This record gives sequence, C-alpha cells and structure tokens, in this order.
Amino acid sequence: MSGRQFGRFGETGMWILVALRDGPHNVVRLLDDVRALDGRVGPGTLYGAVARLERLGLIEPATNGDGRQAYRLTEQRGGVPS
Amino acid sequence: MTRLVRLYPRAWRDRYEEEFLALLAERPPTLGDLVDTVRGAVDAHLNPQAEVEPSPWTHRIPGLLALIAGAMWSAVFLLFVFWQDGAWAVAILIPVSLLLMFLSLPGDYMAAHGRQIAVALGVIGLCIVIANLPYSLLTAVAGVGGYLFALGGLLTLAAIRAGIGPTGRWILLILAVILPAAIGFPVAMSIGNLTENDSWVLVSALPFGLAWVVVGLRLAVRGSPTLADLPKSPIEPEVRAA
Repeated sequence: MSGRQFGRFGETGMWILVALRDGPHNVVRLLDDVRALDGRVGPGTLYGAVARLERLGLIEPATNGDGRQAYRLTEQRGGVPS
Repeated sequence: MTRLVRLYPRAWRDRYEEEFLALLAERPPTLGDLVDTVRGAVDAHLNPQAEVEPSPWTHRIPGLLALIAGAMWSAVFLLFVFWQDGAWAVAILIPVSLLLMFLSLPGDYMAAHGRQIAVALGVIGLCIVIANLPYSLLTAVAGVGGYLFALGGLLTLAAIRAGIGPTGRWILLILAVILPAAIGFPVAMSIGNLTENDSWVLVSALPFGLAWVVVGLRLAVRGSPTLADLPKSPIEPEVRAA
C-alpha cells in the first residue's frame, strides 16, 4: 500500500483491511467497525479508502443475503475464495 | 444528501452512489459527515479512482435505433412536403419509424416505471376505442388524446432511458408533442385537407422526429444495456449478513 496513492485515506484503508480479515462485511458494518478502530470516520473518507483498495485489487464487492452491498478481501489479499 | 452526492464525478456515482446513499440512510450523517462527504467529492475529482468502463457496442443499439427512427420520421415529412408524390413514403416509412421507436425502448429501466406504462397503455387503448365510435366531439378529443399519450409516452420513455431529467423531459414533451399538436390539429381539422397546407404537417410532425434525433444521439453516446445484455441468472456470492 503506497502512501502516495492513499494520502489521508491510508489509515482508514488499513483499518478496512483489518476489519475485513474477519470475512465480508456490508458497508454499514464496515463503517461501524472502522469507527470502532479508528474513531470518527466519515462516509466520504470511508469510500475514498474503499475506492482505492478496490482499484488496487485488495478488496472486491460482494452482495449479502439481504441485497446490501458488501466488501471482502480478494484472494490476492488473503481472502477466502468463493 | 442526494445533492451532495452529485458533487462526486459521474464515474464515481455510477459505481458507488447507490450503496453510498444506502449507507447514509442507515447511518444518518452528522454535520461532520456532510463536510467529510464534500471533502470526499473533492478528492474523487482530484484523484479519480473509479473509471468509466467502456460499454459494449450493443449498448449503443437503442440509441442508434432511436436516432434512425427520428431521422426517418423527419425525412419522411420533409419528403411529403417538398416532393408532392411522397404520400407513399408517409404510408410506408412512418410505420417503420414507429416500429424502430418501439424497438429502441425495451430495457430493464422500464421496470421502475411499470405502473405508469400500464396506465398509459390503458388510456391509449380507451382512446382508440372511443375514437372509433361515431364521430362527435368526444371521439375527436379521444383521438387527439390517444395521439398525445402514444407519441408522448414513447418519447418520454426514450428520454428516461437517455438520462434526461424530469424538467428536460417536460420541455421535450411540450416542444415536440403538446405544442405542435395544439397548433397543428386545430388548423388541420379546420382545413380538412392537409395537402393544401403542407407547412402545418411540418409544424405538427417535424418536432417529434427532431426530438427523437436528439434523444437518440444522447442515448447512443451514453449507452444503455438491452434486454439481451442482462445476465440470465445472476449468481451472487453468499455473504453472511452483518
């Protein structure tokens, strides 16, 4: 993870990866988990980090049972293959 | 909140807007979150992460059909006016234009407007029935009403698919259907013989064709999946709910 690519989103990006180590999370739970780890994180910052992680192929979207958008680690990042 | 999300670039909104708004619905934003959203929008412009994926060529088909239909409709009425033997072209090519307009419409976007489409079809059907009764003021009104609903409905659906907003759609509808009909029909009915006043044919019919050209161009540039492009049986990975 390059600091130049992430800028102020680096720390949040790291906490997202930590949160997703438990398995896929929908975005609401992801925001709650990152807030629990990193204090007051806004939705703009969360998605700034999500977009960077997704672009780097570290996380990928998934859909949970109730149709809400979720994210999970990619296999490259050590996620469980589906 | 929706207005704030519009600050984000188009590519970002195409990718994240829906889930972002869903998140905000479940976690109502504080004042700090609103500021954070604006900062996120600025960042998304300065450091774009989401890119617009080139859409497959099949997504251009609806726009091209609409464009051809509009051009054909316009050309036919111009032919009719400037080439006196052009009545056959009207008889043959106008139905073809209408067919192309119909063919440009099917897409999954229609599901969101299913009720309105059903009501419009019902009104059109009722107008057709009434218009075929023995002539009276009611049958004339039904004929004009059916015309407005049918052509206006077609154009409105195409405009929705092309991503034209409600205000733009109303302007299009007024300029291309309602106003020309309001001007053209009374004159045509009072004259009784259109060939003597061909210019009124252009006034009432040409704007509709030109509107389809505009909508078709926009739709072709924007692209829209056809029913054939939709996945047959979407299989999403099972993810446990939070």
